[in-house]
Amino acid sequence: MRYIDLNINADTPQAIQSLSSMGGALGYSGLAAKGQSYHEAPVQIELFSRADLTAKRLAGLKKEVSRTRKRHLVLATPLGGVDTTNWAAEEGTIDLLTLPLTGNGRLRTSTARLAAGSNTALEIVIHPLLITKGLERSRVLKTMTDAIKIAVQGEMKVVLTSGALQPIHMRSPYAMIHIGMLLGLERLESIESISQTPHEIIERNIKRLDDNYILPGLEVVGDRR
Amino acid sequence: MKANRKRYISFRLHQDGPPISPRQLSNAIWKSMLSLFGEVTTAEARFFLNEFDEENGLGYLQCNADLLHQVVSSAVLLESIEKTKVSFEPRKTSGTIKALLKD
Repeated sequence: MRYIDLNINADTPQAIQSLSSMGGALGYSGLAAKGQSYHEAPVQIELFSRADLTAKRLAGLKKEVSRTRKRHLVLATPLGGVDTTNWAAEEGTIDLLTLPLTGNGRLRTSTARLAAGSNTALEIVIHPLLITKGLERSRVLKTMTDAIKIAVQGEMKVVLTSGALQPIHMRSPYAMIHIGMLLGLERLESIESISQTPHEIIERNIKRLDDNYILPGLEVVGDRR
Repeated sequence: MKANRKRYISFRLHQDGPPISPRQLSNAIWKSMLSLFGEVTTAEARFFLNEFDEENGLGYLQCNADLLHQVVSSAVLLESIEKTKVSFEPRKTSGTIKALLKD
């Protein structure tokens, strides 16, 4: 089974190399990295480019999507206002809606249903669970479990990612499965959240970024004249 | 059927910092379980660290089969022990030590 972590943070080729080395040792077959330097590092496992969209207003988000879609394999944006989030969920170009732990962003049932129709997944970054304790961690757990419950009820896919800044922040696939179960996913759903769902996102976008791709179900198969 | 079924879990503890002793690791997992699941679950988990090699980070522990998930979750959510950053990697689960240590 192929396990993929769709969120690691690496600013330098050395960081990419150490993270990919740890990822390979833990059993991952692919990582999606933010940052520009992933092309330059010699790595042991497959690396995919990821971009996080930060625009807060709908017009800005649309501009960012048109600018970045063809250059990155994975696009993510945090859950935010109703307009931007519902557009991101329904449109299908953005792959991940990331659950923020601060601010106004939360997953609504309507957003989950829209996202289910366009194969946009809810991203849960587990890093905050590692760095918080006591009351703060219980609040983090509540936010995550509530969002996952709404996603599952709306048949929206869920993706678990590490958000690792250093290799020691990564967790093995088996560990991530248990964390998913802790957050309310069934065992099978938890396994899918780190294997099948990220794999589908990658495969879909590899095809989408192909020059011969036009629309879902429409592509050039012969000579272009 | 036995009243308390055990499960054995082999693991590797990835470390970044001064080496961790078995006692430190055991205490850290106890505290993590206490924080996450409370006193009653921690008592019922019957967690015990059987073996831990400080040099290579390999070891195995035992726990109540019904609370395996709670023990593993508590261990994987450890971010640091004393001044050492850690990543707990569970590897294999088995009902007997013999099967666990095979291969």
